[in-house]
Amino acid sequence: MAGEFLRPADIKEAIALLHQDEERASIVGGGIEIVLGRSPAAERLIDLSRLGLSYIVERKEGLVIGATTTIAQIIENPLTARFLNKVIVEGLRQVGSPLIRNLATIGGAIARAHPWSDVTTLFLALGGTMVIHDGEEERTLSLSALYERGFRRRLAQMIITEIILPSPPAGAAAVFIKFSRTAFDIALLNCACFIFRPHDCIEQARIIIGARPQHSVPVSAVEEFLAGRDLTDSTIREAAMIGRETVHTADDIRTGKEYRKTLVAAGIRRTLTQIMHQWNKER
Amino acid sequence: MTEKENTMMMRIELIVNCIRKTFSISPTETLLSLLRRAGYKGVKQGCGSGDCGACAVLVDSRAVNACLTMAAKADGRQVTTIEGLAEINRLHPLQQAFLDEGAVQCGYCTPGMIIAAAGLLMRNSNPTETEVKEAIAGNLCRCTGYIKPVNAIMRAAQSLREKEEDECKNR
Amino acid sequence: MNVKTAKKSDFQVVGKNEIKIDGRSLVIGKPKFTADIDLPETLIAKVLYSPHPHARILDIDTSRAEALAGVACVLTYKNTERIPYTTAGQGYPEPSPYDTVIFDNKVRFVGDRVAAVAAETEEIVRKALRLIKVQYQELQPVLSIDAAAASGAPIIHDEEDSAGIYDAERNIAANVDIDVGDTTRGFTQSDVVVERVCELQHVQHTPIEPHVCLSYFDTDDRLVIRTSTQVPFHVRRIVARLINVPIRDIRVIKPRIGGGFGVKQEILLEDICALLTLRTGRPVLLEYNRREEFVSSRIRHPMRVRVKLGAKKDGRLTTIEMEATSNTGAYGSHSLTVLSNVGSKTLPLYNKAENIHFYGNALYTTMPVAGAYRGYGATQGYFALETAIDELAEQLGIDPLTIRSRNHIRVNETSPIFEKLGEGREGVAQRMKSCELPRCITIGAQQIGWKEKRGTKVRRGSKVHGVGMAISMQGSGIPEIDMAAATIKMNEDGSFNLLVGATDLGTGSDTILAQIAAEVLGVPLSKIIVYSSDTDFTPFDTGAYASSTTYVSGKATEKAAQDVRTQILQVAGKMLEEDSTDLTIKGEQIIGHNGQTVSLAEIGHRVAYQVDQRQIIASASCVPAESPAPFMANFAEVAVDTETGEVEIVKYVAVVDCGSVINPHMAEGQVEGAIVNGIGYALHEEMIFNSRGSMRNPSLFDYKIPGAADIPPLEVILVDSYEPTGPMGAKSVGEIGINGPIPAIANAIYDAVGVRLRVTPFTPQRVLAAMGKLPD
Repeated sequence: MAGEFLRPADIKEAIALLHQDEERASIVGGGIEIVLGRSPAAERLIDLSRLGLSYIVERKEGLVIGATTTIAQIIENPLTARFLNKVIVEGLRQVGSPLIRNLATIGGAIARAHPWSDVTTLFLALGGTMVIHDGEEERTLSLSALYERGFRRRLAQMIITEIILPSPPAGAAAVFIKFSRTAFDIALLNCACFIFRPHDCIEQARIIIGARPQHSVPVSAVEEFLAGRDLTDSTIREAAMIGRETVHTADDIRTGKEYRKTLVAAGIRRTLTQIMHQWNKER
Repeated sequence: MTEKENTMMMRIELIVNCIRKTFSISPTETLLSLLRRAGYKGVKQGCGSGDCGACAVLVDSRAVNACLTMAAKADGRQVTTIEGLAEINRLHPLQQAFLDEGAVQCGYCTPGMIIAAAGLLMRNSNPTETEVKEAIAGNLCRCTGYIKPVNAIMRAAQSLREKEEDECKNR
Repeated sequence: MNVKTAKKSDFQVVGKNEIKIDGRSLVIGKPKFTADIDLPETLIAKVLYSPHPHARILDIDTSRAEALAGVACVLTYKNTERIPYTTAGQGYPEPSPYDTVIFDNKVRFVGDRVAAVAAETEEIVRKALRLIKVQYQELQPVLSIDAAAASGAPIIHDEEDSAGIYDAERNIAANVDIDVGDTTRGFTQSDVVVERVCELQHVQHTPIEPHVCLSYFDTDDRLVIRTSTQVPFHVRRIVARLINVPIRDIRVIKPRIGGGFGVKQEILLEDICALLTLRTGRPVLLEYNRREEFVSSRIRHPMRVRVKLGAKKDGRLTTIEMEATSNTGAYGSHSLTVLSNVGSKTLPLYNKAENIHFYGNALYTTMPVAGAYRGYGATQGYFALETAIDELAEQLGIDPLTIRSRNHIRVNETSPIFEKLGEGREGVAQRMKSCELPRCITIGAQQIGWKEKRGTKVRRGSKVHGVGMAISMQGSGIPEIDMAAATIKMNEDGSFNLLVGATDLGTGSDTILAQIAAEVLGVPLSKIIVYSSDTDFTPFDTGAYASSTTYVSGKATEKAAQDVRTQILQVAGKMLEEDSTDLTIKGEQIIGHNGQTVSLAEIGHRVAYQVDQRQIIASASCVPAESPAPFMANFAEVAVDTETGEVEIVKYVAVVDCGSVINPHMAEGQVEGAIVNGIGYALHEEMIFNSRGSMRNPSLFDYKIPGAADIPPLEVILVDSYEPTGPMGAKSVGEIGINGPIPAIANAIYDAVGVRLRVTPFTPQRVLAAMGKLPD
C-alpha cells in the first residue's frame, strides 16, 4: 500500500528521491502499471508529470519523444505523421484502446517492455534508442538493451527521459503488422520491418517479431539474408520461410506455438510486400 | 478505519464538472473509486482493469479509463463525468443522438461510450465511421452490437457541426 | 390478414421508434443501478472460493477472521442451514435438481463457495478471507463430459439430501429421450444419410455490469433485496425459503440492470447478502468482480451434439436423430431445460421429417456451472443441425436454400415435438399462426447476393470469399407455465401508471409495454408512467427469460389496458350520453360517433372528484396457451485468409419475423446485439482451463468479446408479420438472433475454403488446421 506520492520538479530531484529508498520506490509515468498492481514496489510513488518531459521534437539525431508523452499525443503529432509514411501512427493506433492511449506514456511502455508490446517491436525496428538518467549522467542506449540480462533491474534505479527514433535516410521504409483476435487485444504476434535500400539493393534490414508470446526479438537470419538483395516476390517468400524456421515461438492461452510460426512467416511476408509495393508506387 | 492507519492520505483538488472540489485520497486510489464515492455514480465499474471502458471520464478533455487513472495524477485537472456533459434541461448532442438512434439498451456502458465519443469530437468534428469505431474500441457493450451507438455518434457529430455553422452565421 | 394489416397501419404508438422511457436518465448518468445508492453503515461482503476442483472440507476455522476488528459476520456450512435448492430462477416447482446448498462441506469446482465475510471495509474483508483456514481433502476432479461418463468416475453429487437428480451415481443431472415415428426405419428408407458431431466451447455472458446485490432493512424494518436480477419474484421465493423468512417480509427491487443475457436468471448473491443483513441488521453490499463473474457465476452449457439426417433424393427430410451431451458443470441449474431446448427449439423447424429421435444427458463435471444463456440450448442445437443440413444439401446436389424451403415449417402447420418436448416436461401442442420464413429467406438471399456469390470462391489476395446461411426459430415464453400480470391505474390528469412485474434487463421492455398500453388507451407514450419489478408494488411476473416479456407480459398489459379502456368508455358514454361501445379513444379524447368529445383528463377529474367517484384501475394476467415462434434467416459472407486462417465477416444479413414490431429500434437492437454476441461465440470467445479445472483467462483482457472496431457491416431486416395471438400481433425477438451466426459462418467458411468446422470457436489456428496447413 502506497504511503507517498511525490512530484519532483526536475529530473535531478526525481532521481534523488528514487535513490533515497530504491526498494520501496516506483516511477509513475501514466500510472497504469501502479494501478494494476504490476509494479512490485509502490510505497513511494515518484510522478514524472512535472518534469516537462511531454514533447515531440525533431533534432539532428532524429525524432525525440519525451518520456511522459502519451501514446495518443504521439499519434496526433504532425512530426510523427511525417515519419516514414505514417508507420508510427499506424502502428501505435493498434496499441490498447484510445482510452488507454490517452493515459499510457511512451516511457512507461518502454520501461515496462511487456512481451506483447507493439511499441517495442515497432521502435526496435525503427532503430530507436532511449536516453537514461542515472543521477550522474545521461546515457543513450539502444532499446535492445531492454532485454539484456539484469538491465531492467538496473533500470528501476534510473529514469528514461527520452526516446529517440533516428531520422530515416532516403530510401528507407518501414511497416508494422499486428495479428490479434479482436481489434482491442494484445497481439497474437506482431512484426515490424525496416528496410534501407539507398539504391538497387538492401543495405540494411531490421526485422522484429514480438508477442511470440515472449518479448520482441530481431530476426537476424532474415536481416542477413536480405542484406545485398532486392525485394522481389521470391526473396520475400524465402525471407518468410527463414523467419518461420528461426524465430522461437511458444504456446499461451491466446494461441499455439505452431500457429505463431505461421504468423511469423505471414508477418514478414506482408510487411516486406507492403514495402515493395510502396517502392513500386514511388517509381 | 478500525485498522492501524498505514496509508498516508493526501489532498488533491479537482475541477469536477466545472466545480472545484478538494478530496482526501490515498496515493494509489483510482479516479474511479474517488468519483464514485464522491457521488458521481454515472461512472461505472465493469472490469477495474481498463478493458471495458464503462468508467471513462474526460480528464482535461481526454477520455481515459477512470479505473486506470491514479486520482493523485488528476490533481489540478478538469474532470468531466457523464453527469457534467448536459447543460441544465438540455442534453448534449451525443446524449440526444443516443436516445434518438436507439443506442441505449441497458445503459451501463452508455456513459463511458458517450464520454469516449465526446473526447473524439473535441478533436475531430467530422469523423469517419471507422474513426468512430476506433474511438469507442475500448468501450465494450454486450447489448447493442454497436451499430446504433456508431450511428448516434455520427449523427451527433453532424448536429454539432451544424450548430457551429449556425453560431458562425449568427456572429 | 388484411383486417389486421389495416389495424396495424392505424397504430399510433406501436411500431414507432419511441425513445426509451428510461433513456434520458441513463444518458445523463442518474444513479439507477443496484450499486448506485449509498446507505449509511453498509457492510461490504465477499465470498471465499474453492481453489480445488473437487474436495471435501474436513474443517473450517474462522476464529481468526471473526476476531479481526471490523468483521461483522462470517458464514460457512457450519453456521448456515442445509436446505437443498436450485440457483435456477425458474417457476415453481423448478425443473432443475435441488443439488445445491448455501454452503456445503464439499466443493465441486474451482470457484465454488466456501465462506462469506461481511466487514466494515473491503480491505478488512480481504484480510478476513485470508485468515479463514480451510482443511480440504482433495478428490479426483472430473474435467470433461467424457470423464464424467467414464465408468468408475467419481460421483460429484454423493450427498443424500439432493432431489431431482436423474442419476447421481452416473453423474447424470438430467436426461431427455423422446421418439416420434421410427428412426431406424426412416434411415433405412432414406436415399442419403448424413451424420455429424459438433462441439461447443465454454463461454460466458459477460454483462458489462457484473452481478451485484444490496440488502438492508428499510424504515419499516422490512428486508429489502435490491439486486441485479432477471427474476425478482423467484428471488423472493427462493431466498425466503433459504433464509427462513416469510415471503411477505421480503421486498425485492430490481433497479436498472446492466445486462443479463440469462446469467441473471440465477440466484447467486441474494441468499448470502440477505442472510448477512439478517445476521447483522446492517445493509450489505455483495458484488462480483469480473473474475468472479467469469468463474463463479454461470456460463453457457458446453455441449457435444450429434445429428443424423435422412432424406429422399428430392431433399425431403424423413428422419432426424439428435443426441446432445451437455456439460452442466458442478450443479444442475437449468440442466434439464437447456438440454430439452436443444431439441424442442430446433426440431420443429423441420417438421417434414416424420421420424425423430432426440435424446441426451446433462452431465455433472467439476467445472464452472452452466445456466441460462440467450438461446438456451437452441444455439447449440442449431450449430449441429444447420451445418448438417448444409452438408446434406451438398450431398444431394441441392441448393441450401431449396432444401430448407422444402422442409421448414409453415403457417398452419405443426410439429409433434411441440407436444412431446417442453420445458423439462411434456410440451404444448400448437400450430403456427404466423411464419414469414419463406420471405425471410428470399430477402436475405437477395441482400447477401446468394446466387452471384455462392460457390464462386472469389479470391482477393490471400483471402477467399464464401457465403453461408442458416435458419432458426425460437419461442415466445413458456406456454402454460409462465405467468405475467399488469396493473394500470388512471390518474386524474388522464395519465396512467403501468405497474408490471416484468423485468427490463436493458431490453427496453418497460418501453415496449408502455407502448402497448398507450396504443390501447389512445394516449401518447409520455402519458404512461411505468414502474416495474418490485415485489411489493408490482403484480407478479415470472421474469425476463425464455423470450417471454413482449409476448406474455405484453399480453397481460394489453388486457389490462383494454379493461381500463372499457371503464373509461363507460364513464364517457354517460357523459356523452352515448352507448360506450360506439366510442373511440384517439389523441387523448373520447370521440362519439357524432363528433362530440370528452378528454381523458375530464374523465379523470370526474371520477376522482365529482360524479360516480372511483378509481379506474385494472389488473390482468396472461398465461400463454402457446409459444409462437419467431423465425430468422441468417446470411454471412466471409473472407477466409488462407495464409493465416483468419475469418473476416464481410457482411452479415439477418431477416427476422418477430411478428409485428412494437419498437423497430429496440427490436433491431436485440437482433444486432445477439448477432454480435453470436459472432464472438463463433470466432474467438472461449474460457480456457488448466489441468486442474481453473480458468486461465478470467478477465476481459484475456477473454475477448467483440468491440466496436470488430463488427462487420450488419444488416437487420424485420419483415412485416402479424401473430394473431400476440399483443398487437407481436412475437419475441430477444434470443433468436444468437442462433444463426455459428452455423451461418461455418457454412460460409465451407463455401470459401471447403472445410467443415465442427468445433467452436473457429479460431484462425483451427481453420488453418482444418485446411491441413497446421499440425493439429
